[in-house]
Amino acid sequence: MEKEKKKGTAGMVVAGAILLLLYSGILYAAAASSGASADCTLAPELRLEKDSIITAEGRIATVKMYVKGAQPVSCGSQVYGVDFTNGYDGKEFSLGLQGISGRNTFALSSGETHEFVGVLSPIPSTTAGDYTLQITAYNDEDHWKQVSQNIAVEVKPHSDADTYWKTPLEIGWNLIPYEAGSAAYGCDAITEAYRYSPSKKDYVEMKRFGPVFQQSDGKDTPPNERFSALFVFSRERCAIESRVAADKFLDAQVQLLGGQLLSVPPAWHGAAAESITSLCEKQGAGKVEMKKWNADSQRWENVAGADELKNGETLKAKPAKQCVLDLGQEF
Amino acid sequence: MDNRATAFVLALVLASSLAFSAPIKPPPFSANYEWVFDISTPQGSIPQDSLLYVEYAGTDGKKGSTYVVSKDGGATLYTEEVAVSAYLLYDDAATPAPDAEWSGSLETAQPILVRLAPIAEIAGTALSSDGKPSAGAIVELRCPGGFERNATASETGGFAFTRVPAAKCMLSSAHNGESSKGEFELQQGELYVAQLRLGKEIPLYVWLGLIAALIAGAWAAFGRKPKQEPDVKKGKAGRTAKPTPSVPSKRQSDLLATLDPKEKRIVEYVMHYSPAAVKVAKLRRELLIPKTSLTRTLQALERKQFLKLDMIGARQYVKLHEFFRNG
Repeated sequence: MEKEKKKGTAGMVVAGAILLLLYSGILYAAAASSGASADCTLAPELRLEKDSIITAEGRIATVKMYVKGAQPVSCGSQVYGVDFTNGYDGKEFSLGLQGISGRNTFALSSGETHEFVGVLSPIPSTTAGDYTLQITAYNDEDHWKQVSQNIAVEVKPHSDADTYWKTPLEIGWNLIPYEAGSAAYGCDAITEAYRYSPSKKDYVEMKRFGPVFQQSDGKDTPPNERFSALFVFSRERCAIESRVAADKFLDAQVQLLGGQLLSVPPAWHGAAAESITSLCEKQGAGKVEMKKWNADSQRWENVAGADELKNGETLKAKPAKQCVLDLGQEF
Repeated sequence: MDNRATAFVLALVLASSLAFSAPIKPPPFSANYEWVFDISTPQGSIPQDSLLYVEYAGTDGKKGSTYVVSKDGGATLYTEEVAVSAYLLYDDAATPAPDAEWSGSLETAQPILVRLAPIAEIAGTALSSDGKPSAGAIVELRCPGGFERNATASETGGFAFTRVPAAKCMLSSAHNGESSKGEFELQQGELYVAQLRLGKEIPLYVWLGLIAALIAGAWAAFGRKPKQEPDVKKGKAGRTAKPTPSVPSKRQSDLLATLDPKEKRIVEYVMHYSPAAVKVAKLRRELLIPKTSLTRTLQALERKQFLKLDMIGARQYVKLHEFFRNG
């Protein structure tokens, strides 16, 4: 009886010791893991190039943002993110980051800084006034570890001389008016965009970053190819809008070297198509083939010489030889 | 499917869809050739504004790809150089996988008649008998019209087949001495999720042995007359006679009163044929009692000395026990 009692006590002691060991192990592991995340998962540092911007309806403004890794060196590299938020007046603007599609995350080592260019433009319904935009940088491991900066934006009214283009898009390929660097609003269902490069005799892929279309290779559009038209592919019917400053067309020329896609500028509105083609013929460029893309039927259609051109209409002009057209010339 | 396998399958399906969407370009600037397609599916014409991915090849083998949109049952493709062949893929956004495809030569006679063949996709996992992924297993797909493809299961057992005819197809796989096979019907635009559970293969000699045993059993049961027939009441045509009513004695009635209704029903049925024996199979058929239940009940009635069971050849017979019959 005495022996059995001793055995029972010994068993209880051993079991208690095992439980104690387990409990201390759990406590140690929890302390270790929480210690690691507390040390490394930190908000980055965020700095803006400026704290205020003046822009106008239909115009594009940019702001540089600098994100610095704030974690200790021992943590190695950490993944951070930065972007505009919808906070404050975010919904009144078309916002994006140059060269970045989708969510913007990147790895930074301790003390390393990355620079990003924010692109912003007030959407057509936004009236002149003062607005506030918010930019937030965060630790991708824990989004609550974040830091925000605000930027004041003064939107001035647009000029009455601005050209306003609104193009309804059909499902499929659409040719839309385009001037490199101008803002375009609406139609999130656009999945592909291309401009035509006469020098390359091929299409150049474009990507949309907030309010602008830019070359997907990151290169700038050459000055002599700034005025063109964009072939975009849309999966839905929608309308795309843009507002081009009047001065953009002053002294602007388009070189039809082997042909180009054209957006009819305001100065050409009401002119007969043959008045454009005759300009090329006078330069010895020979006959100019002019076609129009019918998005409704998804087919090219011939443009007759007597057809009246409309501001914002798009065309394909292909002269036999090179010729230069003046976009500010009235007929 | 575990999470890793699901992720693999989704990645494969995504990769297959990306393979179609990556290189598309707008109608060429120098649209020197125009190809007009008259498009239909087995169900009829395709809906207005349907998107079709087109891949075409020229005489020099140079390829191009774009999207065209159906208008009034047709679509127009522009090419800069002459094209000799084309592949069209119709993907209805409402279905999870591409819906139909066509490939053929581009003849000069236009419009080019395009009859789209319905297709579907398969994504799945191959697992061994212990539930682990059968990494490296070769999965074979066979569909009508000689359509055959192979895929190797990934580390997580995942496999996928894209652009498969929407028809009755068969998937099979063999790996490490285990195998699995399954037939299924694919619907147009369907993403069929298959799970192949591999099991031990039965060697050929075992199959042959089983077949031989079955034949022997069938011969013993139906092909041979029993040497000793019990006393079964026969009618004029040689068929089993209908039971004739038999009135139980006072003693038998008292004994019957001790039985439950099912037991009583069985004993009364056998009493109708007494002193002849009744085939157990016939008893089961006539009284509509499940086999296991009847076996249990008969054994109980034998213990209580109401009935007696006999095996004659391969058949089991039952008759009244002497104790119950004679007292």
